[in-house]
Amino acid sequence: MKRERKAVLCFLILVTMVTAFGFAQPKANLLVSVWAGPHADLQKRVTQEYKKDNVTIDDVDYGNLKAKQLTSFQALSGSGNYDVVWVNSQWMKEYTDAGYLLPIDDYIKSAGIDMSIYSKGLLDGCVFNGKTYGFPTFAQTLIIAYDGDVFKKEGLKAPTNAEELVSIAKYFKQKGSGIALPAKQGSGAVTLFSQLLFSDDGYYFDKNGKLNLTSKEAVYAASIYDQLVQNAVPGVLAWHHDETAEAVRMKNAPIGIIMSGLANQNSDPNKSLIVNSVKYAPLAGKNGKAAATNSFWVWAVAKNSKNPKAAFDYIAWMASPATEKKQTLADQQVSGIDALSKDPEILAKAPFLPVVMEQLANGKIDPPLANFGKLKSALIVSLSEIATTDAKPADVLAKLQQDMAGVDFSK
Amino acid sequence: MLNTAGKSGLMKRKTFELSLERGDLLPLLLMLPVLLVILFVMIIPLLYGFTMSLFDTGFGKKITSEAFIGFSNYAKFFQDPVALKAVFNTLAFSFGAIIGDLVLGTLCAVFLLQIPRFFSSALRPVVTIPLLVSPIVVGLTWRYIYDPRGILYWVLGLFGLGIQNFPGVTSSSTALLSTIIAHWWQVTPFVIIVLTAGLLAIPEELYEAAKIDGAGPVATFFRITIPQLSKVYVIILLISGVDTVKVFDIIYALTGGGPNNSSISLSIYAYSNAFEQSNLSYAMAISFMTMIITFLVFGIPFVRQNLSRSDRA
Repeated sequence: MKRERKAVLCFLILVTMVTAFGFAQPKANLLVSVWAGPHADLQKRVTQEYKKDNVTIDDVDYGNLKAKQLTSFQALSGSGNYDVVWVNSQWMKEYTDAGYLLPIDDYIKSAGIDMSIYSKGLLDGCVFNGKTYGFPTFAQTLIIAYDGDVFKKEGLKAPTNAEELVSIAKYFKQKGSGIALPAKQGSGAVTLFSQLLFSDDGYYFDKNGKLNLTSKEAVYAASIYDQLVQNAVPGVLAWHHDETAEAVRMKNAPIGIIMSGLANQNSDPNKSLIVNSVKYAPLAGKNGKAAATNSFWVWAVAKNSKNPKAAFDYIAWMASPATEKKQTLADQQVSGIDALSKDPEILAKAPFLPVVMEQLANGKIDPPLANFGKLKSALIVSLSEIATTDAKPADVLAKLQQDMAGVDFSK
Repeated sequence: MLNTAGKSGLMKRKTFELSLERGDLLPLLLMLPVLLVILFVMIIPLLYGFTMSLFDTGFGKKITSEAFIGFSNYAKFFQDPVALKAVFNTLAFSFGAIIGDLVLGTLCAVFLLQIPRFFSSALRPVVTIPLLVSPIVVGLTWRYIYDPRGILYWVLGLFGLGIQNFPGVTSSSTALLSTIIAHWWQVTPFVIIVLTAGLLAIPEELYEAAKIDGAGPVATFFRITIPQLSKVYVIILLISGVDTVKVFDIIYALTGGGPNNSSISLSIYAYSNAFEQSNLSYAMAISFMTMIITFLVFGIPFVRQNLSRSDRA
């Protein structure tokens, strides 16, 4: 009897051990590609709380991020390639066309995730041919940041449309400073141009999908851009977003057009001289309407991931309301979840959020066309020409329209 | 019969010549790892890149016979105004950078040899510091130097000058020159090190003879020092030439190729086509053209010099 009891006990111990160690799911190792920056540092901190699998985050500077992701997509599964990629919304079309990303609809269905919590405008940028390829997050848009004390002292009010913005820039230019804006030959200038274009209900293409850079809205946007550059603080022609935001923070420019993702640094006393005086306004067009170029990031699963289910679980967790709120509170990131923008706790931390949400609500995304990159590259140079020469914006855009005549924008 | 025996004897000799026992294949075996590395790391990727330039392809696209476009990317290159501007800028950068490197390097190397040993020993490690910095960091460092609130305009301000006198990276007229100056700062130390070695190898007797003949310092410099350094200059020219034609990091960090494409280089244009416009096959064609230009400008003179040297030998 004693022997039997011992045998049963041994059996139970064995069963417990086998259950605990033998059949327990081993943790998957996930390699995640993200854009380097303060947000990536935060993502690393937040990820430490994710215990389900082992996650390694590889943060790469923006200039090399896409090239590295593309290289990883070509690699064999399990050869050290990325499982999860943080994708710029403008690359989504190219990635999905090339078959680099995994459709996640089945995973979403089985996990019972309610996708309606995500901003429709942003979610649309994650869906291609009826398939969902990721969760939107980290929305960004250009907003106006200004030093409220200086404006009060000068008796100025925040600009409510493009003409007023130019007048304020001229006023400060005459006083020896000017406006700060991203005018270096690069994508920052195109974002500014397109935001001015979208704010006036303009677009790159007409209703028939034909390139329309000579529309009155496009010419007006380019002309406002030109006038802003002429009335900017010295050096803006070599500035991208970082330098522009820094100039406003360090009081080198009393007003600037900054990327919302950098606005959180204005309230950091270690980095900013305008902590208590910074104010925000929408970057509006001719009639006062402000619309963003909806630029955001997407948590997606690489198709060549060895652990697609584990990769999905991680992105679903990162894009969940709880994790998104944590990141928004810590770094004032603009989430892809609508409800968070109305959360009082978040609003207290991110005073620029109403401005951003107003612009995102009116926003448009860049067209998901295979040849849009070609147009954007050409537009970058044309805007640089407008900013640095005496060429008339209308003439430059007309020439660009002519140069792009042979490019297929139908798919 | 005799004939057959002769043939078999010949065959035997051939087999004997390639015998492993005699170690005839040893040189080939010793070279094999290097040959394999060259084959897989250099030749195959090069041929693959060239093949891609002949097809309308990109990331994720398969190379199919329908996508064959022949040499149309190369024809397009010669009709593309941005590509031609990039060729001009690349060559201008290359010549400007090399001339500055050589002039500044020679002056500094001679200066460091002329001053007391104590000072030169202290200065030499200091001047080599830029060499240890990566080109992208050099670009970022100089971005702050060229900033209107940076050190350059502070110094210019002491002389009553400002950004309107030298717009630096913000103007089409000075952007390329600004990148060349940043390159000088980084590469001149390399030239100083190599030229110092060359200067130390010049026989002292030549200078003594020149002194006896009554040659002044300038005549000695141009008639003895420079000619004696000619072989070192060729090496520097080759290394710097290849390096400058491939220039990417400094320009990318400082100007991004702007303003208005005034500082765009072939490498930046190839990068833009590959990763911003997803036009990989044209990017490959641009890269090949860069390689051909490098060979034409810097490779041929080097090959000619080597040939004439072997003729003399």
